[in-house]
Amino acid sequence: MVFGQRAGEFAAKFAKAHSAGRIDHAFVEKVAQNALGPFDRGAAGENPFAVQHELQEMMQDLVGIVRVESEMESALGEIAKLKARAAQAGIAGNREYNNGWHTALDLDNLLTVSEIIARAAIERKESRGAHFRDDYPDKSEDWAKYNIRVSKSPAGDPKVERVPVKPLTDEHKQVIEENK
Amino acid sequence: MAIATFKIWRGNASGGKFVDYTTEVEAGMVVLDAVHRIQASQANDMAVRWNCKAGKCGSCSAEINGRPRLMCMTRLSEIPLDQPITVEPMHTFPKIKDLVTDVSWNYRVKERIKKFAPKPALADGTWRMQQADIDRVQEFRKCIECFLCQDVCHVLRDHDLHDEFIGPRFLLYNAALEMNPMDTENRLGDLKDSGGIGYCNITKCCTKVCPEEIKITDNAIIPLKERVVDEFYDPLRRLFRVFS
Ligand code: SF4
Ligand code: SF4
Ligand code: FES
Repeated sequence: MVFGQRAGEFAAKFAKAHSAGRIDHAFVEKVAQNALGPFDRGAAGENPFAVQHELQEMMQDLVGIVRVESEMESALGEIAKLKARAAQAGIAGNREYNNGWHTALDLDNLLTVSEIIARAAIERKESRGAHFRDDYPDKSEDWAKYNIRVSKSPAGDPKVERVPVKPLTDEHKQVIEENK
Repeated sequence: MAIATFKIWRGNASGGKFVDYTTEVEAGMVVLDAVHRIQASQANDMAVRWNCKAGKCGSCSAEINGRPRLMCMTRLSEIPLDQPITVEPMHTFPKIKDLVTDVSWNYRVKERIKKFAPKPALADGTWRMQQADIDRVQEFRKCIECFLCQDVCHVLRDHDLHDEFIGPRFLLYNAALEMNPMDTENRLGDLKDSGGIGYCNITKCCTKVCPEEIKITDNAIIPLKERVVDEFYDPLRRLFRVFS
């Protein structure tokens, strides 16, 4: 509730202080066309549920609880193949409450998130918390100094960077001290 | 592994029909799993609503072999697989598509019910309640709004009195508010008039289908009926009202 109130408060402030942005109608048109793509391909296209299921199984196998560099590299290859198939997803029927269509639209996001997870996990060459790597089973002092940030590169693919962890503020240090 | 046939209703607001699907089923599966398997392999565009798969969100209500139930809580091991299993949308609400119905009437009904109006806090700043009062209200709060009770109640299902009767779910909701000792509002007039509590003839069908096993009729509706009768039909009180 606290966060909800804050979010609302600042969103309202922002909206009051800024005028509405300009809408790029050509872009909207393109997105809408993409979204309708599965209907153009129809039932002859890739089954979206099958692509989703294979992605789940593959990620479980190759980027699951115990991780190794070579497996995660091959996961990236599989993701690329699944992306190509997702682009061919097709669905029968119409837009009315069509779970298959929704799944076809979800694939894009599922694949993006999977790729980000795999790339970030490859980058972190240590084991920490729930991230366990068989090829680097120990926690490393050095890696404690970095977060991994994944952002969208101008070309559209994920860019992976190490960013130094911000030093703790005195207030944080004090809280940690007090709770020791 | 076994093979089972499901007769699933396919259609929309303008009509539809049962379509047969045959699929492999395994030990431990629930009806929703089978429906999902059919959707993924044979009927990609089939509409089915679900969220939690744990009997807690109330989204997957349907009629299985004619009985209102949650698809995610109905184990295949409880139903005979040697004959087709029918799965159809709830009858009491308008159909959207396939197994999905439009239950928004329920939300509109709920909006009309007078909100909780708490007393001021006690001197020590708390709203302390007796454990017995908490338990009574807590049972009603288990409701997951699956609307299966609304689906089965003949007043709505067969007599279509959606404009005159709020249905068991909202009689229950009223009871939770009315029996809260901290509440100051009086909803008995609404229950008698716009709520249509008199339409309920205590068949207990709603109680029978409730997946949360709430004793809707015995613990909520009957006590509310008694309160309404006391308030409006008690001859002594009537007399009292005439002279006061
Ligand atoms: S007990 Fe009343 S509310 Fe429940 S199903 Fe029967 S008539 Fe409807
Ligand atoms: S009272 Fe029971 S059957 Fe009715 S909506 Fe709530 S949980 Fe569902
Ligand atoms: S999916 Fe939530 S109750 Fe069935």
